[in-house]
Amino acid sequence: MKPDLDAVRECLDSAIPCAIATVSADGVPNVTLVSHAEYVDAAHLALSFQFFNKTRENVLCRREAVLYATDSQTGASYRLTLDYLRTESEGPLFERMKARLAGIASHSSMAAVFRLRGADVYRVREIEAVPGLAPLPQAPGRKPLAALRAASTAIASCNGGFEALLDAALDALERHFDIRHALLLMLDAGRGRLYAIASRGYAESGVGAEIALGDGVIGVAAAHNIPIRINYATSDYSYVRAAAQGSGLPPAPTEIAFPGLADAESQLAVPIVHGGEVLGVLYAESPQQRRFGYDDEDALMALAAQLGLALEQAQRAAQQDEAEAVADERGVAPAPAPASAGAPLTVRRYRGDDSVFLDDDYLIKGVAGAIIWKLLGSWQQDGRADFSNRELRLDPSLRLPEIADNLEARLVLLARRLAERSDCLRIEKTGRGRFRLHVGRPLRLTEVA
Amino acid sequence: MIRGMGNPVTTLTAEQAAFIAGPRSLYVASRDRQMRPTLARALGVRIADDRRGLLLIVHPEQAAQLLRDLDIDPDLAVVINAPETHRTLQLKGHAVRVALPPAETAALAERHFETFAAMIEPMGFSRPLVRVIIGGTPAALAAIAFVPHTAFEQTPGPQAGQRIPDHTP
Repeated sequence: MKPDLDAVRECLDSAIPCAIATVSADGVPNVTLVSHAEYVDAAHLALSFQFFNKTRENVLCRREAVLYATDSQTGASYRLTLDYLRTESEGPLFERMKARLAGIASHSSMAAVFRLRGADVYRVREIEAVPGLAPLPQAPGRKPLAALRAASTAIASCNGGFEALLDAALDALERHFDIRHALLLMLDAGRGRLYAIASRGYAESGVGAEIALGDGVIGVAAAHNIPIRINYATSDYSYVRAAAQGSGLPPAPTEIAFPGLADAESQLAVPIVHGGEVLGVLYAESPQQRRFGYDDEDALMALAAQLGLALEQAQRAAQQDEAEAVADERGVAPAPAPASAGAPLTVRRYRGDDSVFLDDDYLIKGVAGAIIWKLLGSWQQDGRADFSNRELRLDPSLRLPEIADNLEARLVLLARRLAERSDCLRIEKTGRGRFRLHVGRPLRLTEVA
Repeated sequence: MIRGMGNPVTTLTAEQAAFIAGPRSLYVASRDRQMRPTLARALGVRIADDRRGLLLIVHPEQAAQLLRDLDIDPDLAVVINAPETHRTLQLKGHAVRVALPPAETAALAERHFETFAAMIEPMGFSRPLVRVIIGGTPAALAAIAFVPHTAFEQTPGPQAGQRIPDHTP
């Protein structure tokens, strides 16, 4: 029978390390433990290469090894006969293993010792269930495929547009996967940064928090278009711990704190992809060790693929609506009279990064900052409260990218930041491709070079 | 008689012997005529009083290939690992299957299980699970007399794989 690594891959993710046997050029067997074995596909796995040692010498010479892997739930054990193919010292597989190994190293107090030099890729030639063992029955557990079906149905049923899809996805993760702490981030490709647009399970939503491409599990998942999963806490990949240990300097005033768990043990970041392009990242975490398995990773990858398609369609539908809305202004109620009462709100905009402050409180920067600045300027100058997505899209001062401008995402981000940070400014959708600005106090607009 | 007895036999230090007695996680590896490796878990160990040999217990089905290999070639590698500290030692040498009363091999394996399970339970591994991993279906367990020739430091780190110099007892 053709070996099927899928059937035994939980053993590779086991709390029990694998052992590996090789034979030297002069015929002497060698046996040692393996720091990390990574499932690649149904016929391949990769072993972490950290040190030049006898195992490596033997493998390079004879290109054959036998791995002993044990399922830490049932005790079932397997001998996998492996043919060495190649070593990868960069790229997606390498990055994935590097992250996994960082978690394992930290968990086993080996952080100073483990450094991944390469991912040694092997073909699985044969899998033998070790005879003479009496494994425990598999404990009934969560069924990720059933959860995926329910979550997928929820997304497919969502007809509320871009923003509703974000909430539907996070609701589905909580309801069907029991994932209590999750974030959705969108990629701003031009700036090489991801920004949080929706979250669940945190005291502060963290909407607007940014992660650089390549930074931590989220940044690596987006940069390499791969899922990254860590089973144990590691400061190498912890946003919250890294920030706490940080440089000792106070955070920049235009930085929104990442909302993640301080005690996250398990982390899973999957890219949201459409048409081969990374749109964003779906991120889940848990204070429990080994909370997410291969099946969860599979399920979330499938869900993220569906979400990517749905978000892209919602964005296109919104653009279509905009075109039609130009000729159809009916149904839009007249704007309320401008507020004149109350102390004026000072709005400052820094031209360098389009960061906007409400009195002394940071609101947002980048494209979303440029948008609110434009809206407030029109309000102040012309008394306008009603705007169309289309005019934003066509406004060169907003510096939206021509392709994949992600305007919907930026408007959601802006609306949510306003809802969280201001008691007198808000924006709301008023119809297809249109929205209204509400201003509750007089404004004083100040621009800083 | 173990073939290759002309090789220098290493005498384990008292400290190494105590480490091996552990209890530890134990694997044994051999190779066949085609130089293909195999490995199995050892289910018990006893160190000779002179510290120049180990008696290793294996399950006849789990280690069937390894036992066949030893009939044709005495080369054996043993890895001894402390799960809680990751300290790891590898011994290489020659081995031969020996006949022991089933009650004696069973007693060695049972003692290993009891001490290992007690040690590893606080790390989250239940006794029934440990029973599966270092136990097996009912069988007369096999015994292997092993004479180490060389010892290697195998604890993860840049020193892993280094040969530990022989000492004069």
